[in-house]
Amino acid sequence: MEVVYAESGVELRGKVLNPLDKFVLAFTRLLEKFADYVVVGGYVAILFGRSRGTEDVDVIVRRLEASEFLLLYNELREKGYYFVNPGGPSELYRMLDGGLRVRVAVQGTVIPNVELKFAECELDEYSLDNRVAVVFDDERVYVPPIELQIAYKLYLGSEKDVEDALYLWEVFRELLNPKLLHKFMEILGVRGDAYGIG
Amino acid sequence: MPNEVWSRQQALLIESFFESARNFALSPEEYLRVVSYREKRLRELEAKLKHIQLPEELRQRGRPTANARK
Repeated sequence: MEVVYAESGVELRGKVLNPLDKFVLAFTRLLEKFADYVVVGGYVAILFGRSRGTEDVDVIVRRLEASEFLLLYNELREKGYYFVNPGGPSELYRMLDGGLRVRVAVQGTVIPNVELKFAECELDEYSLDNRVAVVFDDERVYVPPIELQIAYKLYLGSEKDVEDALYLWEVFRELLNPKLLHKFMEILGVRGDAYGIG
Repeated sequence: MPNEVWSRQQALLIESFFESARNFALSPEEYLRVVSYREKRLRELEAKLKHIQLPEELRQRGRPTANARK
């Protein structure tokens, strides 16, 4: 798999689609009819080739009105998904509106699942406003700017998160905007020098 | 190792992961209980980000996307 930076985003050439990619693509194809989104978290490192699995795919969605969420809910149910959290659309919307996450999986399964949350801070909005299209196999999925994703992974700070940050740094180090990366690390109060990042 | 071979091997690894997920032993309720600790930690970390205001130079970089113009 070759990573190519283009004006339109990042192109992945020669990527062999794995079942997680197919799961994410099928879900985001539905989601994008209703809302702007970015996929964040561990899947971003996996998308760019890191050899690890994940049970859930984190997705930030631009805030929807209750009526808009109902349309998304109905579409997902119709297409064979269900919400792992208990409750109907009103309860699920209240959870999202209150800053909680809700999980969506294919009917009859629990993992993998998509963990949805509404954008709730300026960093989330920045991710959506500046999202990067990752293009592969005539499909696309949106992720936040890689500089923010690296800083955020360092902020989360678990062993797995730091390794994801390092992986993204190694893949993109020649392509990143170093000033932007440093700005995000400063905003999040993290340092990368202990890991050779930055 | 050529990139394409690497990508194919990653796909095989994740296919194995999916295969084992088919035998996942937990119900949705049990699964939610298992992940609740991780979710709580994440919520605590994210709560600290809610008050961050981005500097003007970053705010100006924003390019509202289609949904935002709705």
